[in-house]
Amino acid sequence: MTEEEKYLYGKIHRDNPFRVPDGYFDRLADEVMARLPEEKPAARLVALRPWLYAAACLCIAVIAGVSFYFNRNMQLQPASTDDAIYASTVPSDSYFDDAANHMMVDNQDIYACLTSEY
Amino acid sequence: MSNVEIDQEHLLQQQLRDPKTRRRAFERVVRQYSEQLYWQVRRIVLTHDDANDVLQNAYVKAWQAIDQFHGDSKVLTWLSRIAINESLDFVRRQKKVNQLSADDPDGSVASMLQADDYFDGDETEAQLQEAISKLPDVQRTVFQLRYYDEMKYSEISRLLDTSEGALKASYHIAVKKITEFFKARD
Repeated sequence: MTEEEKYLYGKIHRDNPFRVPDGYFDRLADEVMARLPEEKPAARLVALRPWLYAAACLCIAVIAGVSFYFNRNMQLQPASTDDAIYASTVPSDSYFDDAANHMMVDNQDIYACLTSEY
Repeated sequence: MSNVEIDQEHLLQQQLRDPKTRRRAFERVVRQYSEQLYWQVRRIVLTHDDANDVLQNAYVKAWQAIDQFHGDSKVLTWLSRIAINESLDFVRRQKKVNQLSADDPDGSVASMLQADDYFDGDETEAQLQEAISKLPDVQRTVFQLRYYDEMKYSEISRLLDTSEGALKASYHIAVKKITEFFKARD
């Protein structure tokens, strides 16, 4: 024991100077239990957890499915009405190639025809 | 702990983990440990009304955190930790309020205690409580657990999650400060 401890033990006793109201500890447990919720919020959440996971998976699947569906439809349709009209009226290059093959006309003949003064 | 005490502790922890037995087990805990916890709280917050409020709040917090108690310590150690932290938080808030209210903090603890119906100590005891209240949190807690509860350093270490060496140092510094406080008044 240090000198300071000896001094303190001689100066002050260890008796408890504090008091409590009569019957306090008899009433305390009932008061505490009355404050506690009947069912713990954590327990309720734990019980619902599988349902929450299933709901989350379903939401993700629905969102992914809807996104995929709209994205696919956008790819199949032209960007605008004007584009649709253009695509339907202007023939592709393969049409000219087929026609040129049928007429047995090559590119030189086509150029000569286009640049002539007819 | 004896083998019987170990078995009782294991059974209690098991009942606290099981939602079906949890509430009844918690009530047994409250009835069994309240007096011990109350005095740990009371020595920090000093008045009965404050001790009652702090202790009940500590129990509510413990109930809400019951799923986080994994049996790493005894139930009483876990509860003590919550109760002491609640007590120290309360005292810190009270100090801030006292500073803002411009009351002179020096001497107010001793005067307040001597006016308290539930304090039977004399002037020296009131002055001692004032000296203890001025200590930093760890020193204050270690001093009270060691001096009044005669708790072993190993138990305090588990309670405060601080090394025994640090606790011994804190305790001796606390003793020195309180001794100086009294010698200055002699």
